[in-house]
Amino acid sequence: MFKSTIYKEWIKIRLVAWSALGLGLIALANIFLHVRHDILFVDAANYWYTFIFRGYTFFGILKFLPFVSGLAIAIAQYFPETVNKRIKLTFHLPVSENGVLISMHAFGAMILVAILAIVLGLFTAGSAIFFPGNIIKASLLTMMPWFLGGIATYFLVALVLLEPMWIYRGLYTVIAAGFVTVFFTGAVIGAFEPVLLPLALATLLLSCVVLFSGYRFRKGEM
Amino acid sequence: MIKSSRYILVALGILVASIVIPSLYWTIFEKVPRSVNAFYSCITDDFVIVDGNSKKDPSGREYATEEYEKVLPLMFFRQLMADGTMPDSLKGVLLETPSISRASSFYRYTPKKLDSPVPTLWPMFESQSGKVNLAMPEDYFRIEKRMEFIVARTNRINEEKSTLFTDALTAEGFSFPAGIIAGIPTTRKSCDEGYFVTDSNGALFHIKMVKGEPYVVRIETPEDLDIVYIEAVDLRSREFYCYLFTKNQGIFVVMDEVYDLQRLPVDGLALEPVHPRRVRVGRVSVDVATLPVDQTDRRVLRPSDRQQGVQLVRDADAAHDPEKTALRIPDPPADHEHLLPGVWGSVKIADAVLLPGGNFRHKGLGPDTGISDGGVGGHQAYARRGAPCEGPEHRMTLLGGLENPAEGFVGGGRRGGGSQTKGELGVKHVVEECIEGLGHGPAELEIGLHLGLLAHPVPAVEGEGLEKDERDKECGKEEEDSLPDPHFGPEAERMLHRRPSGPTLVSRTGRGLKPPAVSSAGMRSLFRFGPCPDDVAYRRIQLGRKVG
Repeated sequence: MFKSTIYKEWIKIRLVAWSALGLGLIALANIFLHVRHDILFVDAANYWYTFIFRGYTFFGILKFLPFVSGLAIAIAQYFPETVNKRIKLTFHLPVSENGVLISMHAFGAMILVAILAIVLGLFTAGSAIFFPGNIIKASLLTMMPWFLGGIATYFLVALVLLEPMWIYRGLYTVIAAGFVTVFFTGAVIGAFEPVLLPLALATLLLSCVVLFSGYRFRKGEM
Repeated sequence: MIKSSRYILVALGILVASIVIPSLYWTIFEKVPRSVNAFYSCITDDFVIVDGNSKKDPSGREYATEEYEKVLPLMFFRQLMADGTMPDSLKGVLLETPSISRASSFYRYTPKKLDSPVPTLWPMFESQSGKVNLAMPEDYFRIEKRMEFIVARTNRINEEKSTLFTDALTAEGFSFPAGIIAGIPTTRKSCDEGYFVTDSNGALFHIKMVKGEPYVVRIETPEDLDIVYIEAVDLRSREFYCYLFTKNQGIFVVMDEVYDLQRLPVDGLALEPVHPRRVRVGRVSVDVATLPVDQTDRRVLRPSDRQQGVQLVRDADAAHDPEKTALRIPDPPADHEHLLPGVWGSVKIADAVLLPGGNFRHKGLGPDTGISDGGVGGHQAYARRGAPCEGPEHRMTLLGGLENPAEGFVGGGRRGGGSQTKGELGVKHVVEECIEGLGHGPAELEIGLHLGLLAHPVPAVEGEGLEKDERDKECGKEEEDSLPDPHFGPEAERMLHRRPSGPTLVSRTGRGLKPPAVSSAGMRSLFRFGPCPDDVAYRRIQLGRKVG
């Protein structure tokens, strides 16, 4: 049963998942082609300088990739369930209602995290060609809130989509927007370091809020 | 599980509200703070209080703009020169505007810097390339387990250079890794002085590269000097290398070449990182003015002279110990202590707290010149927002320690360009009198101190200097041309070893860090600031918690 649930979820999100990964790879290729080009033209020492002292983020185009990926996967996974209340069928299966929702959600989150991890891994590997560890570390610290923000987006959009009542959806959307905005607040390189852990914990806690929407759905809130 | 997910949602709602609502509130209701600044005038020997567009003396008499400029001649000397009303002397001290200009410096400390991420890679410039312009090096260094140079083009470590510098650091007792690294990482500076670095034990080092070789000096500091921030500066006057902000001992400057630490007379500052807040808080600024006195002294201000002096000292040292790769600057003579005259005496800002958002200014008018009889000119304080410091009982600015007040000299100050409105700190207490008027509550406070120097009265022979100057003007000569070549001859020798006479301000032999001596009981009483009557506690909502 678990396998079948996973397979059903995979069918729903595979197109979006592959697209997100493809987009990520294209973005990475773009980044490193530009880095190589710019280093040829302005010399590596000057290029490093713009990063270290001028705060030029050569990986800026990655900023909203996690957000878009999280949003797209959540929509692909949960929007079809809300059409004609299809998720009711799932809840009528002879398995724990919470359990099936948790496995759906965990699978979606896992795919998203896998995509983001691949992008981050390739970014690190590519950066190692051009930059020393200090610059790579600062870059990853700068990108980390964006990636956490993408994951939080996934969790919150699932919450909003599964919620049966429109007024609640609206309220959730406001809160979700307020929270996700925090991750994308502009800041200097590495500025998010002190809050990364609290933000990661908050994101982790958000992973289970979708259960509340599921619960209200089963209760028959309209 | 369902229950906890509900709680998490509520918690998330509160978290988001605590970010959004205060931000919205302050966007709508935040008021522009009223800025009141007080300056001390050496012309009227009294305060000038500037509140918006009105400029008054403490008795309430309004100054017209021209009058105002005239009573603060050091602040407005350009304007006064243009008007032809610049005095040629103040309190018997010859005023030479080129020297005032050359020796002026401005520095604003923004507390944000305490909390900001700092770079870990730095370019090491060649400080004596023999070229006029500095060149960007091809490598960057980091100081972790050792000092490593990474060549940008290849992204590989230059082992040879790394070992050379690591060994030089080790030889001076550097304990890896580095704590703070501070320098001016740009080629747009007058010359390169490398970096000021603290090691893992908090010891302070000066590291630069001289003709490809490491130059490392361990700077003697008091044991418990807890440096939290260093700002390297590139002063035209070459008075000092950098500011050291310490956690509990105030602010020091590291004097050029001799590595003597001079403490700025600002007490009661607690420099600790605080979380960024929207709360706009305090500012403290300090102005220090010293006045060059006569022609001879003024020459010492010229960078070329100073450079030459430096070179001689270095050569002499290298000759003593030619095998040493890291050149050491010899200890300065015991009486070579007047390098930052005027920065002495002690002003206690009781219970004032300098927090991010603070503002620190230094205005140095002249190097080790012109002080011999000692004496602190005066201070100025200005407070932003709230009532001005009016009335005799509000005189926290003072002429202190003047054995002979007639010879005192105080420079003017100016408001600290109040653009920095979104400070991020809180001040708990402020200087007594000014603060009292500020009322309690969120306030932005700026305290400026301006120390002037009591200098020699212009001796009769100085008249010649004046005439010479005028002669030069008539001939259209650059002033430098009229001076004897300072690089050679007995004059250069004399300047190299010149030392001011007069009271000892800070003892180098005691490793320099005794609090500056106070010359008289009178000064002590003048510099006393009482505590605030009440704690001024600030409470503003940010992220749902009390900010105090």
